[in-house]
Formats: sequence, structure tokens, C-alpha cells
Amino acid sequence: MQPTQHLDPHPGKPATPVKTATARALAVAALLALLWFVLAGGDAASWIVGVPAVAAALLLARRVGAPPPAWRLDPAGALRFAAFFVRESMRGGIDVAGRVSARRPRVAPGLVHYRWRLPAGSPGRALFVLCASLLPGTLVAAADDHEVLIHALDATAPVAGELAALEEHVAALFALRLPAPEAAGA
Amino acid sequence: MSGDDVRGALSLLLIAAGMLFFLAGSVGVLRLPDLLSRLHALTKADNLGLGLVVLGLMLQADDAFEVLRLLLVWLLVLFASSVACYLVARSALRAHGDAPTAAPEGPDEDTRDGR
Repeated sequence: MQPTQHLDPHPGKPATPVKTATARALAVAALLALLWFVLAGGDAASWIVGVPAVAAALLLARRVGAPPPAWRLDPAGALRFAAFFVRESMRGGIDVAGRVSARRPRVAPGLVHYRWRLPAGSPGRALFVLCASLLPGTLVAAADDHEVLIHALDATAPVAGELAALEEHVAALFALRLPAPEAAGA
Repeated sequence: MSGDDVRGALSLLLIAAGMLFFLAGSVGVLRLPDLLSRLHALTKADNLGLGLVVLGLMLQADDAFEVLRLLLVWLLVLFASSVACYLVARSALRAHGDAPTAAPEGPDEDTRDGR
């Protein structure tokens, strides 16, 4: 595939095992190329844009930081996560549409701290941050190693419960186990 | 009434419903009091709105490949909007300390006199 030739002039850090880094980059390049293929509908001329886009994405991915540690996907968990995501997307959209079209917008915005239960360094945290903004009434405003700062459209709503549910679904997707089911929710 | 008619009608219905949610998202941007609250309206309403439009278009798709492509478009837009939302929220919070009242653009003061 064309995109792979862009990799060679950029060897990994000398200390890291070069072979696995190259293999990883090749796998990512193949995945990105497949993504482009599906999006562009297999039109050969589209690769004029596609190849630079894949190369740029690869370079960007290198710059962003260390690759995540090993993780695996649980198929059953992934299915349940997908169902949860679709359900919550509908709830989120309907909720916010209702709030803004009331005669006086029904909002009571506020910030809520939420302590992580997902382990540090797991890809689940990124997925959690992405999805929390699509959940009804919550939006991630900041995240550090210990907690996430959530902006709630209605701070009087049971936000922590929703976030805990999302966290459990993300954990199930990655076949992770969360510590202390209820105690950390506050 | 053939199956194609039903499918076409359902498709239009879904697309129309999706448009309504886009409208709700824009209404939210105009009516909500501060930047972070407005982000809520944009991310959530547009997520569902685009989802419904994509679903409606899937019903009109020629083959499975196109369905897959539409699904991919939805996921990529979701990803981009969620990341953008996080970045805007984070920089707003850093710049203002707490919930800021300044709007990024567009009308704000004059549309709020209805309250």
C-alpha cells in the first residue's frame, strides 16, 4: 500500500524496539488506508488526497505521545456498549432539545468533580471523555490523573450515577474490572 | 403501496426528525446563557440529529458498502465534535476560571430579552 512508504524516513526512538514500532505503524497505516477506502468509495483518484491524509495522521499520532498499553476488546461488552451509546444519544438529544425549547430554558449549569474508577493509562479513559459529552446533560471540561471535571447542564440531576453507568460500560467494552462499585461515585 | 414507498416515507420521516434536532441545537446556542451550556446543545442535539439523518439516508442506500460509509461518517463526525467540544470547554475554563458568560460568536444579548 502506498502510505507505508512514508514511514521509512522516520525511524522510532532508538531505545524502543524498532521492529514492533514499525509493525505497529504499518498496522495503523493499513487501518487508516482502509478507513479512507471506505469513505472515498474506492475511487482511485481520491488517493491524491488520501495518501497525504494517512501520512499526516500517522505523523500526528507519533507526536501525540506513547501508544496505549496493551488492551483488548470484549465482543459482548462492545455490543452492550453500542446499545448503551445509541440509547444515551437519543436520551441526550431529546433531553437537551426539551430543555432549550421550554419557554424559559430549564438549565441549572454547574461543575461536578468525578473521580476516575477506570485505571490510569487505559484507553478506556479517552473513550469515557469522548462519550461523556454525548451523555444527557454532561460535558467534560477538564481531566487529570485523578478526576474529571464535568460541566452539567443541570447540576441538580443525578450526574454521578449516569457517569458511573458510562464508566461501567466502557470497562465492559475493554474487559476491565472497576474497583469499589459504589463508594467512589461521590 | 409497495415496500419501496414505505421505505422512502420512513427515510424522509427520519431525515425530517433529524433536522428538528439540528434546529433544537441551534436554538440552544441562541437561548442558553453561557458558553459551556451552549456546547451541550450543540454536541447532543447534533449527535442525535445527524444520527437520524444518517439512518434515513441508509434506507436509501444502494448497497451495504454505502450503509457502512454512512455509519463511518456519523462516527467520525461524533468523534470530531466530541474532541472539539472538550477542547473548547477546557480552554474556556482555563481562560475564565468558572462558567464564562462570553459568547464565542453570534447574537447573545439581544436574543435573551425574551426571558
